[in-house]
Amino acid sequence: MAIISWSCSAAPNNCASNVNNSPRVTALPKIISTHSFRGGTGKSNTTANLAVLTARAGHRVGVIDTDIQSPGIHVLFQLEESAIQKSLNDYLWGRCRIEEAAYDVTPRCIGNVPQEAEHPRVFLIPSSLRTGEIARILREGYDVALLNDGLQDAVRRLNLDYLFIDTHPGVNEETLLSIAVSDMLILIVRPDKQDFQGTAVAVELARKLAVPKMLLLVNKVAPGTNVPELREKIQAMYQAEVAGVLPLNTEMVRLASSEIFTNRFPDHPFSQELQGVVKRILE
Amino acid sequence: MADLSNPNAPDSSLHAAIHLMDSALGRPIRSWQFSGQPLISIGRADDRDVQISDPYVSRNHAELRNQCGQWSLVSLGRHGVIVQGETIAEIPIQGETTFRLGSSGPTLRFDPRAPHADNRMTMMFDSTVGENMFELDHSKLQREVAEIADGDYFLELQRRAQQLRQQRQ
Repeated sequence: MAIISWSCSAAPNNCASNVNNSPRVTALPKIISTHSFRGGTGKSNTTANLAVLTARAGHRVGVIDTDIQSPGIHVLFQLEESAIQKSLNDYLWGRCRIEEAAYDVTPRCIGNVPQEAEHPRVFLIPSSLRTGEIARILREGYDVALLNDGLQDAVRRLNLDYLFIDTHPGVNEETLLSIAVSDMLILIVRPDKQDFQGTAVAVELARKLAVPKMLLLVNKVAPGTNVPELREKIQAMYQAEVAGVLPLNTEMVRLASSEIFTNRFPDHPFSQELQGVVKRILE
Repeated sequence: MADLSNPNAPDSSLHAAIHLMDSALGRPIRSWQFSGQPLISIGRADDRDVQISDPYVSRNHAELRNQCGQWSLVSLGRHGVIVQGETIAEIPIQGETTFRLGSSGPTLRFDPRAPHADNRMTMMFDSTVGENMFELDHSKLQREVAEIADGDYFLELQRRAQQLRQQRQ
């Protein structure tokens, strides 16, 4: 496993005081895919924040970036390109085992958790940022079945309680696979007609793949919106639960992906709404 | 004529309007009109004169007070009130004034000289969400789903996903 250690002093808001160190209730690990029809919905940001909040509840959490064509979630965990020695791409080309592409980002996003503590922990499996690697994936493709093995191996070998899969927007083979092997699908949608229509396709496909649990998360909701009305209409449209309605978040824009929002603004309405979603994940 | 000895007494000559502005388009998406009312409360709580359900708006966020013909805007909520980029506690209002409830909240425009209208609202309770936005094109949806779901890859995936779930249980 690739381990990167950071000094917690560089992240003053990331103290580990607000974490649950009590023994975990062992249960089957959960694989959770987050998906959106289009880019720009805040999918990676939401995934990273949900992962950190889940870890803070006292769990071992993995985050895997299967958005191989346009990777980005590593930025939120402040994992610099130069620090990424092995990535998901290396695993898919048979150059390493999946756990060798996992980076322990706990110090950066949780704080001073003792090295020997099993939880909370957050592991990130990034996709390669090298343009040559991305071009090769686009040109040659890869064995999608190997991705499935990688997901299962990541859960087992990293002893994860939860694995979050940050998928590529739209519907392609790896996205379908991610949804198929997930215990839960979180669909992130903006109040936008194009998003609604495209998300409906993902909802129908997820139903055909018998995903056990599906939650909708409405993001970037404009100030002044009648939130209960919006929630009700979206639930009726998809016959699925809206687990959270997240306000358009100018503080998030100002943060510019420099860190995990819920660490910086734990009491913000956005963070509080995400806490509610985490409760649904932990159920 | 206004009863200057009692600023809270109804003054039939007192008219004002508050508009909730669409920040992108700069036009009102909802309006409230007031007549003979020297105190206008704004907040998230149901009993506010201008009730706005928004997470950035406090239950009791701000008030517009008229004393001796002079309007003032008073901040009450923890998210503050912002006028021309400045967070204010209380300011006198001379003419039409735009203000924001919190740094990320909705923008309102107060018009102290709005003509009297029979109804407090000049516009219907326009949903801030367009109705037709929720109408899915079902024939397009069925076609797109079928294009993917009828393919060999998807059918194989369905079979393997089922197996995988059974193995994990």
